[in-house]
Amino acid sequence: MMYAIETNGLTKIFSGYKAVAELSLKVPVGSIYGFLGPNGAGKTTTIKMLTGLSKSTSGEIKICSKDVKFGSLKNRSDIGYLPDVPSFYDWMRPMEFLMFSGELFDIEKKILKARAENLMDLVGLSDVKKKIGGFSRGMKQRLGIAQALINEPKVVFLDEPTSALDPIGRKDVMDIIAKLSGKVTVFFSTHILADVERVCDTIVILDKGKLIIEDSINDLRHKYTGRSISIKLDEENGNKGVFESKLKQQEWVAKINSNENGDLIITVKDMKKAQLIIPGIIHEKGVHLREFAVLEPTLEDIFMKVVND
Amino acid sequence: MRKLTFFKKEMMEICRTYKIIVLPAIFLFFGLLSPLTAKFLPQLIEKFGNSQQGYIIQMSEAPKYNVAYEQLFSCIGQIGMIVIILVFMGTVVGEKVKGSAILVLTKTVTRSQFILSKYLAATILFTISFIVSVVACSYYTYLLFGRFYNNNLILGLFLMWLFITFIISMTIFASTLSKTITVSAVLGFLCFAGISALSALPVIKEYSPGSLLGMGLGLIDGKESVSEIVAPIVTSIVMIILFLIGSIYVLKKQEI
Repeated sequence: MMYAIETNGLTKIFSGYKAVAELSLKVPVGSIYGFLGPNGAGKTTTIKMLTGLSKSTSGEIKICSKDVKFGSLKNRSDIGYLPDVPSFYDWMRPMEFLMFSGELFDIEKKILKARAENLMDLVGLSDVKKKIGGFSRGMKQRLGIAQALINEPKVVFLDEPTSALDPIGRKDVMDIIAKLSGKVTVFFSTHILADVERVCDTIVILDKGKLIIEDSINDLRHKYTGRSISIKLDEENGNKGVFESKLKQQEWVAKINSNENGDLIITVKDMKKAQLIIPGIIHEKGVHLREFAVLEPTLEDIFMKVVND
Repeated sequence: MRKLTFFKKEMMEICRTYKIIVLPAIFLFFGLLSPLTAKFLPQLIEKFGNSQQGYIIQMSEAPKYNVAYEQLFSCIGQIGMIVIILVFMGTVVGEKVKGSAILVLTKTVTRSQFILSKYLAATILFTISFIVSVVACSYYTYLLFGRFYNNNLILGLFLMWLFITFIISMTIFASTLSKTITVSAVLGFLCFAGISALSALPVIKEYSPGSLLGMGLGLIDGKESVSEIVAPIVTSIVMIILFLIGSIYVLKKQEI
């Protein structure tokens, strides 16, 4: 498999504190890669090392098979970068900033103009003529994505692009990121799990500078699925107590709780047995079933579990 | 072409943020005020001073045209310096603190281009302001005194120009070293005070850039010989280069 980003033993130490510890990543070409972690996990520090803005204490970085060195210009054409709080020149207009960004890459003026117009369209700023100084945070993030794409990079780094936005701004930005799928490798850091769940193919969970987990969302769900079953019974069901005590006797049942709606949440040790046997107990005890569901873990459940473990 | 893009942005910024009007306007004020002060201040002192009982002030002779340039050197050498440090103290640190430096430095702008473009643009802005000031001062000096020129005038003014471009390079160095604009301002003023203090010390003053203003004025007044100005000119040019190299070196080491 071709990798857009590869790191090996990447470490950053700030005055004795390990902000990033022995981080080894392999980001497949064309993927949308979610870089998850609570605040202070080391996400921004990692991105700054990957973009050559910060010097690693040890370890190697390759972007599109080229070594990344602190301050080197070698990888600049391959990457686009949107910092967590993008700041522009307030006196410029958005199209001007895109043209300026493109000229820094020596892109031919005609091509640059067409590309800038397309990007303005992509991020929904085509009709905006006012100066950047008057932009909302959401507009700045959208312009930030456009400037990160002006050189048609192979890899684009988006550092918490939605964390400071209201729900509408967040949706706009996530829609744009979703449109990039397959066209460019997106390395997307966030602590908002719903965003990752929506667009990312693969995720990494980072905590205290260490990689906790790296997997595709589907595989993660598969690994963490099959632990709980929710059963909703008819409200006037008199046999609920008998049904519950029969379940408690089963050796494959770990725990039974009720949620705020009165549904039974059964944590099981063996999902296959539970799926076969529970319908029989329901029939045997004469309880009226309204709903039987194997609970899919949300990314939040997985995140909380791996971070707390 | 790409190498000039950031410099073009700097020049555009100077125009669009109205620095191109504000700084020349301040220097124009210095240029207009200096000959007027030279001509009328002695008359005002004489008139109002003598109106106080018991005081008699007599001016020995009518002021000459070169007093206008003395006033100009004094204005620019004091208030002008403060204005220059205040205008340029945020040049580098401002972009670092605000975050706009990250966006350009992750593109193809080298750190050398970043510093040199900023120094060049600042020097051009100052030079425009300086020319405006000198032209206004010379014109009014001519109107008020009937003479404005002597053979050493251009050289004397060049020394003042060189001193301020030296101060700009020092301010940019302070701005690169600092993490906040306030620290940059404090550092800039401390360096300026240090340079001024050094130029008062024997031996050192013969080489110090801080002597350029005094020597420039001395040339115009005919009190200084051309041979004495070579050492501080060379020191200033070397120090400008060292400050720029130092700024580039420091920025290259900084994690932004």
